[in-house]
Amino acid sequence: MADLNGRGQLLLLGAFALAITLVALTVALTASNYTGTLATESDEISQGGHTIAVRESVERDIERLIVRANGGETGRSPRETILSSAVPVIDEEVAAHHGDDGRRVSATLTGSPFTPGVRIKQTGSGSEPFHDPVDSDPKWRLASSTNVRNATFVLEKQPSPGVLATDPDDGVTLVLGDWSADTAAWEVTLFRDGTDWKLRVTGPSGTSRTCTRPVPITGAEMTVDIDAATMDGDPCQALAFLEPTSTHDIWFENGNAVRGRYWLTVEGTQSSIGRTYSSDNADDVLYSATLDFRYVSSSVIYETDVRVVPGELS
Amino acid sequence: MILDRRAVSSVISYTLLIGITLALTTGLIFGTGALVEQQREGTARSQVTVIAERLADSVMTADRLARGTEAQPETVVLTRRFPTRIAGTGYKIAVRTGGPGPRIRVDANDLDATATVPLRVDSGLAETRVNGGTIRIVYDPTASPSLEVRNG
Repeated sequence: MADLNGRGQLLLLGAFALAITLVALTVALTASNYTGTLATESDEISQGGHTIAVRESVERDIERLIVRANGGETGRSPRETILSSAVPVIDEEVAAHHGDDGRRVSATLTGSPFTPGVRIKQTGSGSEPFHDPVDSDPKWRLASSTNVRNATFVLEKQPSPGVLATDPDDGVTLVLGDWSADTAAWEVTLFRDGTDWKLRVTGPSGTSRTCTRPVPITGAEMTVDIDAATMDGDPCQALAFLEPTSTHDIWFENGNAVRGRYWLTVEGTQSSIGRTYSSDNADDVLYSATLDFRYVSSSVIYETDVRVVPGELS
Repeated sequence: MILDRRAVSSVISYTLLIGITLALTTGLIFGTGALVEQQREGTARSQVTVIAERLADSVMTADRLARGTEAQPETVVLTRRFPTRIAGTGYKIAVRTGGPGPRIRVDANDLDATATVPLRVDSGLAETRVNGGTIRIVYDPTASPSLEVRNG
């Protein structure tokens, strides 16, 4: 019996060691499996990407509202009323759509959420030079110490070419800079080179970029959308180079060297931009709106002001 | 029966039995022990890599949230829940900004398992060292540096 007991203890020892080994192996394999789960789990929401997507969605909605209010109403106050009544609806929709799983999402207007703007324009049916609407001066200041957005030129192509200058120094130029010192930070110049129209953007360091478009046979107009960085509907990399980072005086030079229409929106009121326009040449609009955006979940807390400016050059 | 008992010694049988059992047990322990250790280190390496990448992703997302609007956010806090132990051991997370640039390094305590993931952030990032487990990435616009990784 003593012999049998000794042999049994050895077997027991072996079985015990095997059990311990299996437990350790199980721990390692379970951890390995957890790693796979951690690596492949779809956690866009806990990672914060969802927060950015929701914020951008709200920004797009407010942008559309500002564009619609500026286009469909007259005067700044009715435009503000449209946004004031529509933003709570967006807030409810955002909260209902994204507020599941314990998340709380809100977008509200607080304090003084609207920034006034002035849309300066020459949008009559006739095709005119880009000169001063009062005294026809080809070099004239549109606004002082301000930001600008939604700058668009619509140039006549036929029957006569809308861009007249063949020398860039004589070409119509939109300047962002210091008017009193006559120094430019940014310049957007249009000129003609043979059968091509060229657009040149010059930055503060003197570096310039140019894009070229042949004047199409068909169509009566060419649109230069400075915010969208397109010329005749196609991307213009020179315009993507335009990135003013502070307020500037804004003026045209060689305004008689072009025929067409233009419009742009500057930040402020007619008194703050130092220029009073007739109703034919300016509208009082909304420049921007500021929202209080909050996104709170178990993994993300994000509270910020969101300034919405459709098409600002920056 | 008489034939069955020829050339049989109970002592030799017993010794052989013990020897074979010892050899098998020892082989089992050493063999599976090495296998377990190898599996454990491999698992730990995978885990530190995944944790480093996930945390780096969260830090860069916090930076995007902090820099995505013109106004500085009042609050940005991201909370990530990682395991407190990997392959049976603890681990440390270090945020470093010097040398080759911002990066996250995750080290298992008792194993040869380390992972380093570079970061691309515009906000200032604090150098910190935290334990594994729940991690919070906090952006504080009034602090310098403004972005910090903390234990939750």
